[in-house]
Amino acid sequence: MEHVIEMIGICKQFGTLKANDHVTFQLRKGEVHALVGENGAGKSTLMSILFGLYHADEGFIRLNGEEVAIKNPNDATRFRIGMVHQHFKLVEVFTVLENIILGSEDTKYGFLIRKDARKRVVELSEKYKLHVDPDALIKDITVGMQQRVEILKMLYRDADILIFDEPTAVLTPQEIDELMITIRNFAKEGKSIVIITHKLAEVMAVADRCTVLRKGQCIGTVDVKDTTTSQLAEMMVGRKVRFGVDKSPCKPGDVVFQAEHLSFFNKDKNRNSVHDVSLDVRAGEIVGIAGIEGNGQTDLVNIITGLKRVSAGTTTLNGKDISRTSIRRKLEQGMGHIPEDRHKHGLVLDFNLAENLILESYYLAPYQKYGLLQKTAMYDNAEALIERFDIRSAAGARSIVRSMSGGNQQKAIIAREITRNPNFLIAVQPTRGLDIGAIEYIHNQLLKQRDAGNAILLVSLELEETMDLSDRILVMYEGEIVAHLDPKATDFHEIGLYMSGSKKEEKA
Amino acid sequence: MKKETSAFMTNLRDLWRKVMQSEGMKRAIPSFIAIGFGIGFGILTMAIIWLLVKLNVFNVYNDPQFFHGVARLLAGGFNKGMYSIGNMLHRAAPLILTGLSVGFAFKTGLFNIGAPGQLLFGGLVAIFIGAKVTLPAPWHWMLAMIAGVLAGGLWGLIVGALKSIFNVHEVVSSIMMNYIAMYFAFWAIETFDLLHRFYDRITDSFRVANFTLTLPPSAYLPRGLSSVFGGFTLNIGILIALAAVVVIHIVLNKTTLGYQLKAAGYNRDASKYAGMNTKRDIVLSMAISGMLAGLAGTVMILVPDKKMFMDQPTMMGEFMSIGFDGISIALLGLSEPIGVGLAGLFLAYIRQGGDYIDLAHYMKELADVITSVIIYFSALSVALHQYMVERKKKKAALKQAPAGGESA
Repeated sequence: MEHVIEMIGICKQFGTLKANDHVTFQLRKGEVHALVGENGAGKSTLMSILFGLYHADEGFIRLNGEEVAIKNPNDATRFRIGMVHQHFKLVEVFTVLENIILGSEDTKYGFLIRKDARKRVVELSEKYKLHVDPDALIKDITVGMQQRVEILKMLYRDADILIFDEPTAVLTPQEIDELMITIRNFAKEGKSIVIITHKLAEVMAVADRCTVLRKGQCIGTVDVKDTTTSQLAEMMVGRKVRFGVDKSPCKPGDVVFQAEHLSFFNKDKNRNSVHDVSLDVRAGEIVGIAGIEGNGQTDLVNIITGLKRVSAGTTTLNGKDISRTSIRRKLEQGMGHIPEDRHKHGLVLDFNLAENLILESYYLAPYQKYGLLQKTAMYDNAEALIERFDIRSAAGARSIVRSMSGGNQQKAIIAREITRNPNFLIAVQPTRGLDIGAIEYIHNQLLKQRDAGNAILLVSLELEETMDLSDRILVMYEGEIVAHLDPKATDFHEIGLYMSGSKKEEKA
Repeated sequence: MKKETSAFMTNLRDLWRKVMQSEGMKRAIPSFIAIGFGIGFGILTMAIIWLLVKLNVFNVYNDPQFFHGVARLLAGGFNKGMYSIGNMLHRAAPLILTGLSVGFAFKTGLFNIGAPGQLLFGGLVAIFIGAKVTLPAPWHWMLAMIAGVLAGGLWGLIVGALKSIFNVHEVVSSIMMNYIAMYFAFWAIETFDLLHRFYDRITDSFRVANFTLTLPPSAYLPRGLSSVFGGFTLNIGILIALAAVVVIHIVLNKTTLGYQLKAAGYNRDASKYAGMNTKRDIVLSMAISGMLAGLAGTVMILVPDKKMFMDQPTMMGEFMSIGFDGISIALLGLSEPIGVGLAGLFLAYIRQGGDYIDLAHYMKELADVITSVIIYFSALSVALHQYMVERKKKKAALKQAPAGGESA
C-alpha cells in the first residue's frame, strides 16, 4: 500500500535525553493512524519533527516516496501537512474567521479581503459539519469550538495530512464522539490522519493502525483490529498492566470538611468563577469533582486552601470555621493539599529534596530549635521518606528538585503531604503528566489514606480517574455544582451531559 | 623536622584540593573569569588612552606610561605596602556592607536598587545623633550606629511595605526613595546645621566652612594602631563588615528565617502555598537589606573630618555610588555572603590601584573611568552568564515540554 509519509530512522536528542531513537513511522493514504505511548515516550517530538518545529538529528522524511526537508511549519503547510496542537494556537481577541485566515490572508492595497475567505470557511464548515460562528471572538467560544477552529485552519490551508496532538484531553465525552465521527469522515475522503494519544479506548474506537513508542523507541506498528487494549498497554509500558483499581467498600464516617454557599469573584474573568457551591466530605471517603478545565475547579480549590480569599460562604474543617484563617492555620488544623501545578505551588525547584520535604513544617520541632534549622533532622526525615515512598533521584536527599523527573517530584509532594497526616486531603490532578507506574502508585496511596479514615477531595480532569477512585462524584459546570452522582450508578455518557451543561440537576 | 614540614605540606595540599573542588569554588569560577574579562577591558581602556596620546589625537603634558600604569593598577592595595592595605580595607568596609544588602535582597527574590538611599538616610541619622547628642565615647558612636542601621532599615521597610500592600515594584519605589533620601539630606544638613560654620565679617553672617561635618570625637568609630598600617589609621569598619558577613551567612544558611526568606525568593507561590506569610517576608527582607545599607552609611560617616558637599553630583559620586557598587558586588559575589566579602575586597583593591595610576601619568579623572570599566564589565559578565544559564534552563524546560507531553 502507498505511504504518504515515511519517517525513517529519526533520532532527536535533548541534552542527555533521547526523545526519539531511530524511530520509523509510516502513514498510509486514507488511514487513521494512532501514535500512542506514555508521557515522555517521544510522540509529540516525532510529530513536531514532521511539522517542522524541530529538526531530526538523524534520519529522513519521505513524502509520497520523495525525500523532503521540512525546515519550518511553513514548509509543512506547503506539503499540505496540518497540525492541531494540544494547546491551541489561537489569538483570543480575534474572531474565528480572522484566526482561520491568519498567516494566509488575501490583501488588496494592504487592506484585508475577508469576503472570499468567509465564503470558503462557511463552505468548509458545512461540508464537514464543523459548526462555528465566523464572527465570534475566540475568548467567547467553548474549548470544543476552539478545536473546530483549529481543524478548519488546517482545512483552509488544504491540508491532506492531519496531525492531532491529544485532541480529546479538553473535550466532554459527547464532543469526543463527534470528533471521532469527523475524523472518520476525513479518512473516508482520502485524507491521512495521525492522532497522538495515550487513551487506548480512543485508539480502538477510531484508528486503523497504531504505532507504539516507548522511551523514544518504536516498539511496533499493529493493525487495531488484530489487537486488544491490554496488548497495547503492555507494549506501551513494557509489562502487564492491571486496569482499574481495587477498592474496598467505602465506610463514610463523620463530616470532616464542609463548604457552604461558597462564591468567588474572579477579577480577570469579571464574573463569579465559583458560584454558591456547597459540599461536604466525610471521613473515609473520596469525593471526586469532575468537569471540563476552566469551570471553576481551580478557584474552588484556591478558596478552600486559602490561596485566594473567598468572596462569600463558609468552610468548616473538623467543626471549626476556617473560611478566613491563614493557610498556615489551615495546614495546622489538618488540611493537606496536593496542588494542581507542582512547579508553581508544590515545590521550590531550586531547593534540594530534603528542604522541599519540610516546606510546611520547617518551623516546627524537630526541624527548628532556637530559630536555627536542624539540618540533621531535615536529612533524616528526607532519607526516611525517600525509602518509604521510593523517591528516586541522582543525589538522594541533596538532589536539586529541578533536576528530578516529574513522577518523582510528585512523589515527593505526596510523601510530604501524607506524612503530615492530614485528615482532610485535597488532591488536584494528582497524576497529571505521570507514567502508568507512578499513577498506579499514587492511586494506591490515596486509597490507603481513605481507608485510614481520612477525608479526600479529588479534583481531576481525567474522568476515568475520578470514576475509579471516587465514592461520590460532583460535577462542576460554570462554577456551580450541577450534579451529585454515584460512580457505580452512572456512566461516562451521563457525566458528559452534566459536564457540558446540557443537563442540570434541580436544586434541592 | 623535615618530616614534619612535609606532613604540613601534604595537609596544606589536601586543604587546597578540598577548597578547589568544593561546590562553592565551582560556582565561583564564572566570577573569576568575569573579573578576568573586566580587568582585560580595563587594560584595553588604558591602552586606547595611551594610543590616542601617542597618535597625537590629544596632547597632555606628560605622556602616560602604559606598562607602568597597568602595573600600578594591578598592584592595587599593595602599591604602598601596609599603608595602602589599610586604606583598601577601609574602603572595603562600606562596599562589603552594601554588597551584602543587595545580595541579601537578591537571595530573597528582591532587587534592592535602593541601597544608595538607605545608606544615605542611615548615614544622615548617624550624623544627627553624632552632632546633636552628647554622650561618652563608646556609647555615642554605638548609639549613632544603631540609629543609622534602624533608619536604613526603615527606608528599606517602606519599599517592602509598598510592594506587599500595593504591589508597587521595588525597583521603581526604591529609585524614588533614593532621590527622597538625597533631597531630604540636603534639607536636613542645612536645617539642623550639621556642617561647621564660621563667622564671615565681610557678609556679616555665618558661613559654611570647608563642608566638614560637626562630629565630636566621641562619635568616631574606634581606630586601631596606625603603626601597623604604615601610618594609616584604620577604624573598626572592616571588622564590622566581616562580622556582618558571618551574621548574614548564618541567617541565610542556618536559620529557619533564612530558609523561609529564601523559599519566598525562589518561589513565592510555593511559599504561600506552604503557609508562609509572604507579604511579611517581603517587608522583612527589605528591612534587613536596608539595615545593612544603613550600616554601610554609618561606617562611612562616623570618621574624623568627613566632608559633605551639598550638590547632587558629589553626593551621587562620592556617597551614593557606594550603594550602586553594592549591585556589582552582589553580582560578582553571587549574592553569597562570603562571595560578597571577597568581591567587596576586590573592588576596594582595584579602586586603590586606580588611585596610584597617576604615578604613571594617567590623569586622576581617568582612574575612575578605568576602574569603573573593570568593575562594571566584571559584574556585567557575571550577569550575562547568569542570564544565559537561566535561558538555557528555560529552553531545556521548553524542549522537554513537548517531549514530556503534559496530559491535561
